[in-house]
This record gives sequence, C-alpha cells and structure tokens, in this order.
Amino acid sequence: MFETPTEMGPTISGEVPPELLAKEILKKFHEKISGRFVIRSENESVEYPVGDDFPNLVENIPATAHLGGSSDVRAGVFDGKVFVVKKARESVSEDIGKNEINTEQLVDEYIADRIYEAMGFYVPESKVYGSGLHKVSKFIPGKDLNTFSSDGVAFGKIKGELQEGFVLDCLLANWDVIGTAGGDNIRLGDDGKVYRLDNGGALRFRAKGARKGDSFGEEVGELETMKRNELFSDISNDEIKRQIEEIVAGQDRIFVAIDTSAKQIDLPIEALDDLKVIIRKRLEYLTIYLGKLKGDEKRKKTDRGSYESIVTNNYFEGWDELEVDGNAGIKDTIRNNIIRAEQMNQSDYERVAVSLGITVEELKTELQRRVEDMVAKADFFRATDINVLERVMNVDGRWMSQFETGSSDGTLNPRFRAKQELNMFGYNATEAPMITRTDDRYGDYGDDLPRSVIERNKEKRPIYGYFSDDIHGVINYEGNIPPPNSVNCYGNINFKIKKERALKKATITFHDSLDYGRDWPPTPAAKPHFTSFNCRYFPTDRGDLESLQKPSQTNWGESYTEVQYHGQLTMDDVESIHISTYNDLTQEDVQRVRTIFSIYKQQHPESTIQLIEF
Amino acid sequence: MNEIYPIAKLGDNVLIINKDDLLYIGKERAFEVKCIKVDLNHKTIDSIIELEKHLKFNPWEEIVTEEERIVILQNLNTKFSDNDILAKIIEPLAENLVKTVNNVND
Repeated sequence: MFETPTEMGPTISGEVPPELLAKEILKKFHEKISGRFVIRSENESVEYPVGDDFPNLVENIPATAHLGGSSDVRAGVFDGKVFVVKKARESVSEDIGKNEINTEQLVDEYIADRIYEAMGFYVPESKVYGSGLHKVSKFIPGKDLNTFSSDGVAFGKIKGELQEGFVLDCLLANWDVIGTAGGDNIRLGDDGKVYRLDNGGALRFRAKGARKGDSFGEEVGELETMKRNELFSDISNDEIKRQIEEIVAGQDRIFVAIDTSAKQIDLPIEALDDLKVIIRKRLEYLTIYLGKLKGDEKRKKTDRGSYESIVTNNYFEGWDELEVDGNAGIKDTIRNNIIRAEQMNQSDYERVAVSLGITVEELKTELQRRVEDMVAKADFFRATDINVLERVMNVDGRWMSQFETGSSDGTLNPRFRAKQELNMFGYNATEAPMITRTDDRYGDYGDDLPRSVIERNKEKRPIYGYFSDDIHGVINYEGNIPPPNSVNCYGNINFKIKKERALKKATITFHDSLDYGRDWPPTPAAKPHFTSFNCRYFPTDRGDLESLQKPSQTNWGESYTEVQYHGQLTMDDVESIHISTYNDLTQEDVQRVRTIFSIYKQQHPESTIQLIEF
Repeated sequence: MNEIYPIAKLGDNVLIINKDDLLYIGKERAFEVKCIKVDLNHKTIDSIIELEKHLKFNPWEEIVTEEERIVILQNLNTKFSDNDILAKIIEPLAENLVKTVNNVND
C-alpha cells in the first residue's frame, strides 16, 4: 500500500550521532515541541535519532518531556534515543466503583497498531510493559497533518494516503484517528510515510478512556459516521468497495496480528476470543455493506416513479429500513408530508430553477446533495436556558416542554403547537380520528382540536434544538463567535447531543418549524430530504445555492437550523456541554454552570459528559 | 390598548405581550402574537419575537395570578428606565398589535 518511500523528507538513519548526548537530544526535542506534539514549518527538516531497541524496563526511560494530550504521554530518552511513553489511565471501575488502572486501553491500542501494520499501514513501532501499564513507542520525526496548509500538495498527499485506510479505521472503530486540532494524530514522517500516531481510540475504548460499550458492536456504523469527517467525506463508494474487498480478502492477516500480539502481551484467552468474535462479526458486516453498496448502484433509479422527481424516487429507496424514534405513525406522516410539500411547492422550484438557469430536476438534485452534506457534517445541539439547567441536569434528567409545565386551559394555550406537531409528526393523531386532511389543504386541522390531542403523552412531546458544524454549537450569520448564537434567546448553554443518538431520534428543518413546518416539513436527520429546506429564499441578495455550505453559517436567508428530538431528550443523550462568555453568559453564570455540573458529576461519577469552556 | 401583560416566567426571565393579543394565543393566528423576553436578573430586554417560538423551546410557566403580574411589573419599573420600557417593550408590542388587528380585519 505505502511501499514506495516518497521524496518528501530525509530518510532517518536510525543511528545516534555519537556527539548527541541524551541531554542535547531532549533540548532539541523541547525546542520543537509546542502544545501537544511537534510543530514544525513545512520546509524545515531536523533529524532526530530514533530508538532501535526497547529497554527491558520502562523505568529505564526517564520521562522528561510532557507531551500533553488526553492521557499521560511523555517523551524520554533511552540509550541516546527518543521514545514516547504512554501510561495507563486511572478510571472508575464499573464493577467495584473505585478508581483502578485501566490497562486494557493500551492493550487494545497495541493490538490495533499491529493490525494496521499487518494491513500495510504505518504506525510507530511499540512495546507494551506491565500487561498494559505502559506503552512505549518509537518517536516518529516529522510534521503533523494540522501543520500543513489544507490547499497544499503535501496535505493532499497525506489525506489521500489517510483515506486508503478508511475502512480499516472503521473496522477498528478508530474514532479518534485524526485527532484534534485538525489532525494531530496523523504525521507525515521525515521518511515520507504517513503514520497513525495514536490509536488509543480504537477497538473498545474512546480516546479519553471511556468504554464504547455497545457502540463498538457488530455493526460498523463508522462507515457512515466517520465519513462525515471532512478528511473522509469525499471518499467515493468505489473506493470504499475496493477497500472492503481488500480487507475481507486479507482478513487472515488481521487474525494473525491479533494472535501474535496477544501472545506478546499475555492477553487472557477469554479477552482474545471476545475480540476475535467481534472483529469477525464486523468483517461480516463489511461484506453485507459491500453487497448493499453494489445493490444500491443497481437499484439507482432514473425515472420519477410515482413521485415528483427522480431525486425523491431514489430518496425513498430504503425508507422502510429507516429507524426514526418517536410517536406512532411518525414515519408515515413525514413521508406523506414530503410528497405533499414537493407537489405543493413545485411552482417555487420552477421559479428558482429558471432564475439559476438549470432544470428543476438539477435544482432538486443539487439541493438534496447540499442538504445531505450539511446535515452529515453537523453535530446536534440543544440550547438550554440557565434557569432550567439545575432541573434538567440534577432533578429531572431530561428536558421538558411547555406542554408539561402549562395547562390546556391556561393563557398559554398550546393548541397551535399541538396542531403543528400533529401536522408535522402525526403526534397523538389517533386522538383526532374525526379530522381528516384534504389533498389540497395540507395540515388544516382547524381550531377544533380534541382536548386529548393536547393532553396525552405530554412527556414525550418533541424537544427542540438545532444543528451546527461548529464544535461548540455556534450558529449565526457569520458562523463564528462573537457575535452570540442566533438561538441564545432560548438558552446560551449549548448541549451537544451524541450523534448516534441524534441520528435515531431527530428530525430537522433549515428554519423554524412552527412557521414553515407546514410547507417545508421536518425530515429525518438520518435521511434528510430537500423539502426541509425552504427554497423560497432563493435567489435573494442574501443567499444562493452557494451559501448552503455550513449549517453554522446561516447566511442563506434563515437565522437558524432546527432539530426536533423525539421520544424524550435525556442527559444520557448528552456528549458535552459548551459555555462561553462570548455567548452572553456572565462570569457568574459560568460559575453557576460549573457548580451545577460538579453536582451532576458527583451524582453520576460514571458519566463521560464534559464541560467545555470556549 | 398598549397595556403590557407578563404572561410567562422561567426563573428570572419573563415573557411580556400586549394584553390585546391574549385572545389570539393558541388559535389559528397564534404565530402572529409577538412577545418580548426580559431578564430581570441580567437586566436585559430581548428583541421582539413570536411568542410561540419561546413556548416551543422552553418549559415556560404561566403567570396565573394578578398579584404576581403586578409584582413583575413593579420589578420592571425598578430595573429599567421608563424610556427603556417604552421604547423596547411597549412600542414594539403595540406596533405588532396593529399588524395583527389589520390582518384580522382583512
């Protein structure tokens, strides 16, 4: 795969210049370290001596330079050569509820490294000590991916080689393969090879040490989720098929690598068997996925069928298999709404297509592509008001809607919202059997809504949020902060929802759904349809198709995107909490959030939710 | 006419509407009813926005007694100047009310 060394860097001899004492080596090393790892300009090349032989004892490597990162990673010198020493984390044991040293993560990382090697990819040579207490790797001189300009030739080369391992990254569930800050886990070595430096997020553990649990299961969902990373997003299906075929054909090498490394680190036989079973299941899934990709291509339709467009005809392929959590009948309602909305808005599509000089089908195809792309690259958030924070986190453990805090007879009459949710999702539709919609008057339930439509299942009403491709959930016209978020009038504490959860329980629109939800309806986050985008905005002096790039930058005519979470939104769904004084929080507010978060952590010591201040 | 009406609360936040808009809430034209969110703690007044949007996003509690409404109005008067209350609350709500009335009469 990467057999041919490139001319991109000097070859490392591996010999230690005799005049370089350990002190000098580290001095040079320190000079080149900034932040986590080595930061160097593109044109600079400095030769470092590289370790050949590992010491018998890890204690023989005095760890002197702290490299930061999410675990205890230090550089040290042995026999005049630089090594990187990673120490096992302490974590809370699920069994005994006390802190214990987690040796399994370094073991998993070591096995993942060996699998990469066996399949022809570059990782630092390493050795595990103390059955996983320490992992020592040879230092790789070079430059991290995030030090290259993204429009440069070198970046393109690294990206290309990185992509060649995409399916293997997915198979190993190496969620953090890229790293943070735009690629600090990928390094172009001075030897011209592209290295995966830190595979601590592969197999059973997340990069920061938490167990993935069921998320590392028999299905390789990473083929969809990791493809949303911009470094992987443009991999073609043909390339994915090629990689799957290569891996499946060479799977023996994977199992030999597992067996060999297990022997080297004395992995208990039960653990070895478990790992092999799950890898085997995941390989089977790859085969199924391959068949699906091939089948999809065969099935790709070129006619409209019974729909308004070829795009929609293809969109509904696989609809029956789609899972959408929520109220009974939600999928049927959404499907009907898509069909109705496309018919109803045909004149708008025609007008916009004419103004852009393209056909209606071309417009819909492009809209669908952009809508899918924007949702795919997004994370899902819930803006939360500080006044409900304590209740959500430490009392109820979930978000509530006004349906639960109000009454149907009160001044805050919820009839309008109930009617819209009935229209958009079929919420409590079984309570309104006497009301039928006519074909030409979409969503007209009138004011005579039965009380039971409002009263029933209040606790499972949709909870509203938004989606953005900003890591902190920034969303506004500029796509950055300041200025504050365009949703902060509803709450300026941004809760990021676990993506895998959101994709099952969320629907989306590119606008406020109460206003336009009737005409441009919500569609599943896992399978968005172009009718969720209000094309009446186009063409305007504020935006055009080209402005549909990033969901964080709402410069296409709307102020925000919207997510409707179904079947309750709970703290179990939360990945992290993002706060900033730039988002209209005072220092006192920030302190209050910290306090509430601290109480939550005391109550839920097993929680992996992070509080991130930006 | 032009009587402001605190209608819902969420901690230190209060939603205020024009009292004449009360009859539209929850009805067919509910989305035309505008409100203004006031944060009595941070002493901020938000821009005018559709009431239903706020009600959709957060679990607002109804202000059910006249006594509580009066206390909130008194609080408003102590936290904000008359000019602010007029320019940032009363006038925008009144302008919206006119539009609503016109729409209804169309």
